[in-house]
Amino acid sequence: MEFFDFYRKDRWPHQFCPGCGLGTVMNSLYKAFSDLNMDLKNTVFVSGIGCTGRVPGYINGDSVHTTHGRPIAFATGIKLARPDLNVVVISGDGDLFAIGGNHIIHAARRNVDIKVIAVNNATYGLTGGQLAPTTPHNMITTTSPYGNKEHPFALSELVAAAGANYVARWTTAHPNQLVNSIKTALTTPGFTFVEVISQCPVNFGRRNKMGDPVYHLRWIKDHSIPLSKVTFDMKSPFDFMDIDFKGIYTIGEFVKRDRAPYGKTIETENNILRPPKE
Amino acid sequence: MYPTINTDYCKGCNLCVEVCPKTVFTVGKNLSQRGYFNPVVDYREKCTNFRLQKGQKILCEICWLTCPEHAIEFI
Repeated sequence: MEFFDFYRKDRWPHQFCPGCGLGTVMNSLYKAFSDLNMDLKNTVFVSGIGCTGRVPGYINGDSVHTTHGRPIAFATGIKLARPDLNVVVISGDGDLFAIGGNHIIHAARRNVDIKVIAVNNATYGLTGGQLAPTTPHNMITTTSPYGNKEHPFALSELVAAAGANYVARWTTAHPNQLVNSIKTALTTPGFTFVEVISQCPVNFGRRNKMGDPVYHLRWIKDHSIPLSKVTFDMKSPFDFMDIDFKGIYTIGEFVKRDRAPYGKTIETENNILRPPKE
Repeated sequence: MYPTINTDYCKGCNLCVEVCPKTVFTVGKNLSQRGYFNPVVDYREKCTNFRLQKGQKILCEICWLTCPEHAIEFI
């Protein structure tokens, strides 16, 4: 599959800001799809509202652009109605975790067979850089001019605790690992979750002395540490999530489980759910 | 095979200059037709893929993967 068989050439160049990390995520998604030889006709891309919610609009396949915060709910419905389709959710942190936080927790608990790619740029980028639940401690945004006094959401740890089958976190500074992780996520049955720490130079970096995308990418690379290199005196990676100017993102593959997905557990003869025989 | 920059797509973010381990790209100084300072492929013989023929498997594509605009192509 060529690049412009996967994406629509008539929509190119896309409308994201110069240096936005979403382009890297789009390249990685294409690379994973073409390496796995997956068919676009059997795949549905679901997205919510936000910058990341516009990515499926560029894909040369079937996509659903849903209401704010509800892509997981729509994707669950699609998967249960048509179990033969692959359902991929691409959405941002504000959409999946701020507005639709409960949906993703319970989808991970039920282990619905959908693949989620969450692009975490640590702010509400589309609406002008307001404080998001994922903004690191002491970072400056338009609505927190004296620094963020809250502590950020640990997305991957949350989904891993909720019971997903595969959870990984990578950044846009590690695109090769990201491609391998998306490949694993697309082939693993059950709820799989890949978080991508992405740069937002215009609305997040510019207010934190990282207006150049190169500086922001360098900051992300310096402030991420692989899970295998987390030493004992750092305690567990779960304690290490208080990210501020000195803190660090833990990256790597967090969880690999082998639970039965939700679609399989309700599948019975003639598609009618019966109580188990005693 | 070496990387080239498509000036129709490039928005001048200079991420390729940052990520390339062989420093093939340098920061550009001339405005493109779309109004961006596009990077220049200065040392294409330094690229890991320079001795490969077309159709062979590309060894390093970190600039291609990172470029948010899909402006880099290997020819």
